[in-house]
Amino acid sequence: MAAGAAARVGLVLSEDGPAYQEFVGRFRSVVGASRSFLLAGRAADFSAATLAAEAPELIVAVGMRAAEAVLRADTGRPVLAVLVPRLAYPHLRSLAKGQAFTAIYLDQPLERRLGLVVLALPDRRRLATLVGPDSAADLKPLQNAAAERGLAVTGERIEREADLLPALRRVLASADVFLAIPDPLVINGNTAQSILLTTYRAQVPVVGYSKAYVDAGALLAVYSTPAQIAQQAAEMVAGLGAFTALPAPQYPKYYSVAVNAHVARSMGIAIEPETVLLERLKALGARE
Amino acid sequence: MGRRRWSVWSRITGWGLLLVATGQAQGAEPVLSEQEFLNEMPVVLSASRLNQPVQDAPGAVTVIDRQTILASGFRDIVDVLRLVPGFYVGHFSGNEAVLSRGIAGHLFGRIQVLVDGRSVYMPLFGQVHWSVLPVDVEDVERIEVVRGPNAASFGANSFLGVVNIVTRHPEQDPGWFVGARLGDPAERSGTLRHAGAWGPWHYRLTLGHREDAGFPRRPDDTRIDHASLLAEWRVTPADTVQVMAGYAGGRLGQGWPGDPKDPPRDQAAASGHVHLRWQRVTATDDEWMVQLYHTFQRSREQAEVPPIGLVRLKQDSDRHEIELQRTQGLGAQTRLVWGGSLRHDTVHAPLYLGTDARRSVRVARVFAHGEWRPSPAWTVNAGAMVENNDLTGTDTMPRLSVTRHWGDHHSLRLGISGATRTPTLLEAAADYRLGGVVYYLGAGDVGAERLVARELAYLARYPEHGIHGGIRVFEERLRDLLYPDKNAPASVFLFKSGNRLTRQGIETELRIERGATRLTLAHGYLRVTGVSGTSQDAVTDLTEADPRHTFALLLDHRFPQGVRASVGLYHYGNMWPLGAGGDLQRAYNRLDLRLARTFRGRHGETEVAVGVQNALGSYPDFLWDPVDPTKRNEFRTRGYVALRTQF
Repeated sequence: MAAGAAARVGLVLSEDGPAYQEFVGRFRSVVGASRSFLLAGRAADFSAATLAAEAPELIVAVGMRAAEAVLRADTGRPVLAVLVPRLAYPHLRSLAKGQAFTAIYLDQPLERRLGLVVLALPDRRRLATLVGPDSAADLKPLQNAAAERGLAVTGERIEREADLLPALRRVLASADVFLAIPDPLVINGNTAQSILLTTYRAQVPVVGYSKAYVDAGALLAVYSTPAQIAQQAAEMVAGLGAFTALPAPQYPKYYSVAVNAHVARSMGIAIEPETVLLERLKALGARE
Repeated sequence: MGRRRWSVWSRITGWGLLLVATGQAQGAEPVLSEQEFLNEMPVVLSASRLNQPVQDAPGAVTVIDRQTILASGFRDIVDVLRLVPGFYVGHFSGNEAVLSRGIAGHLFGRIQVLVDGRSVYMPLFGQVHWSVLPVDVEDVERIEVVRGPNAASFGANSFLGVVNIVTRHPEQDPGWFVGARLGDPAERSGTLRHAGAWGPWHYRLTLGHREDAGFPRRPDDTRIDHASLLAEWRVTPADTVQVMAGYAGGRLGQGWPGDPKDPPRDQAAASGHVHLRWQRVTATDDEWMVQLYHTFQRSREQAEVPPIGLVRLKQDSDRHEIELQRTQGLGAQTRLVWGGSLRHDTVHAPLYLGTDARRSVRVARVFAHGEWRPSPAWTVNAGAMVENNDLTGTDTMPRLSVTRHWGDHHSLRLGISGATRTPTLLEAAADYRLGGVVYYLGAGDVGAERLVARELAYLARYPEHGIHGGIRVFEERLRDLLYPDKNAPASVFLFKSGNRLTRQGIETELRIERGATRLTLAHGYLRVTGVSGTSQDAVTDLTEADPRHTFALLLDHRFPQGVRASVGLYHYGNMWPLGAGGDLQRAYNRLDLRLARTFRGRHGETEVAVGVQNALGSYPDFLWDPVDPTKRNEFRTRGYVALRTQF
């Protein structure tokens, strides 16, 4: 099936909310309103019946629940999942079985996150992190990528939430930056507060992975907004020869940097403004 | 429990392990979703949680963190304040600590003391009854000390200093903590704490016992039990409700053997609080806070005093306060904090105040404080508080400071600040008579004490080398000071206003943190340059009350294998503290040593420590009566062993 001018893209959202609306708004404005339409505003509303009526040639699933619903329905249509964490990709891949499927991750590549640490905190070379069962496989690649940049990473794997604080204290003992890795066991609504309080008391700044994390008290983060992901998704759709030949999953192409200036000042850390860090990070990315 | 049973099963049958493992893989564990990236998170490090950078503060601030408190080996929170330049800590008795930043005296500390934002000094005496404070040193996260007036932010009694004790968040110490300490003099103290979650609440419950024999040759022992609770409920990502409650009570030894007017006896003493706080934090610098609290102190004692007969000494104090505070960021350069409070203090102390009626004081205040950073090189702080109370009417307390920063390393601050202090009820309304003889009389309807403080401070910081330091010179002009005039007829102590005192000083502090070593140095120099008073005694007493030099050094080093050693050296110069018997307290040096080892297990860690306090030999602590030289607090060398375990 050729992705001609008439090819239509159906959007399925996990739920209604500002982040999903932000995605839809940007995606449709780039792809064109006539070429895209909202198939289901909530994952629960998605069904084979709506699909038959609308006949999209590609489904863009926005969020985890949308992706799960679409892949489980086994529609026979190619699927692009967006706003999904990289850690969840194998789970989605297994649901996809033989379906044409790809994703744009919500999280940033390790190289980019480490690049930001080097640019923003050049004097700090000892990183600490915690991983859970889901993210344990990330530790070794992180340590290797860090070593290439002259950074050392002390990491521990925890098996249950009760181990979190003792493990955190141990890794912080010899660290000057804490790099938060998205993992449902390590960082969730319950643990965000204790991690931020404990690291702050140890005067170890946290490098987060989202804007919300920086607002909550992390020192800085590189992250992508739903609109930035939408831009990339729209460009991917426009550039495709055929929807059946989907590219490999991708990391975000467009991103932003957030700095919590209050936390920086309180911890006595001199840090460049967000715009400067972003430009330098882009330049670094272009070189690598 | 369930988990443990499974692990036993899994050892019996290899299948068990497999079943558990697959069970978890199939969705029992939460799968990471976009929510973790996109959802709103509570603002954990809000303006009130963040330490204000010392170089941006409107005045001289010393922050003592938990590591320093632990390294010092002090069990009593008040002793930690020895590490603050210019602060004096002494003991009127083994169970009655004295804290001052100038005009060192048994009563009327002229220092605001807050615990988690709750004012705890006693409305009758103006001092904090540290022995009966329901706060365990193990729960203290940090102590922020303002060295000088900060009435514009903290209000009444924030005259010569402000001490803000901040306790730890329950989520910082989940699980159990057990602490025990045995030492001299007959010290037995212990702490049991549990912190965890109960439904939507995170809580910390601490139980403790403090017991010691006080100073030799006097019945000033302490036996206090205490309990405190802090519970927090995050109602929405932005809103939290905190409930705090505490109680401490027990027996305190009083009096002197062989003194018929002050015979040995037990005082039943208690204090406590109930404290409710709501906070809404929508961004780091956007915060609402409303709090309501009640604190109380009670004491009862009685003694047969010939020829008067049975004398009963009772003191009940209650404080209720409601406070609102708003923190607002106005653009990137300006931050505003404003609010107000209503306070009601009541005291029932028939013998001290000569009336069986409850006396009360109402205080209303509004305040605003702004921080403006027009460029990275400048910080301007300006603020004012307007306070009205029943005793002295309405006063305005302003402050202004301008700080120039050179790069990240150097700052120079010029500041001026005004403050007033409302007389305590004892100073205003004392009517203390025994057997028809008048001993103390209040000053009656007098105005507040007034202070104008000026300072020039230089601050240096090299965080990359672990160095922070500062030195400041200041002048403080105090007027309308209240002081008892001993020349009134028949040795009546009549509180009189109208004393003036001008003093100048230099305060220096330095903190160096290199690898496993931490050094804290604090030095205070104070010179009284002008005194005029209502009597010659007042002039002499106010001139000589304070040590010219105070000095503290704490060196702390972590060796491999969990071994940690610290050395504390403390010095106070000659002084004639007020209400201390009247004679010279000779300068002394005190050396404290502590050696600890931490053992880490899979589920927790245990620290065993031994320590020596005052290894250099005895010194008289605060009290030394020339008329009866046996009346003195002899601080001998003390040893202790302590165990702390968290699991």
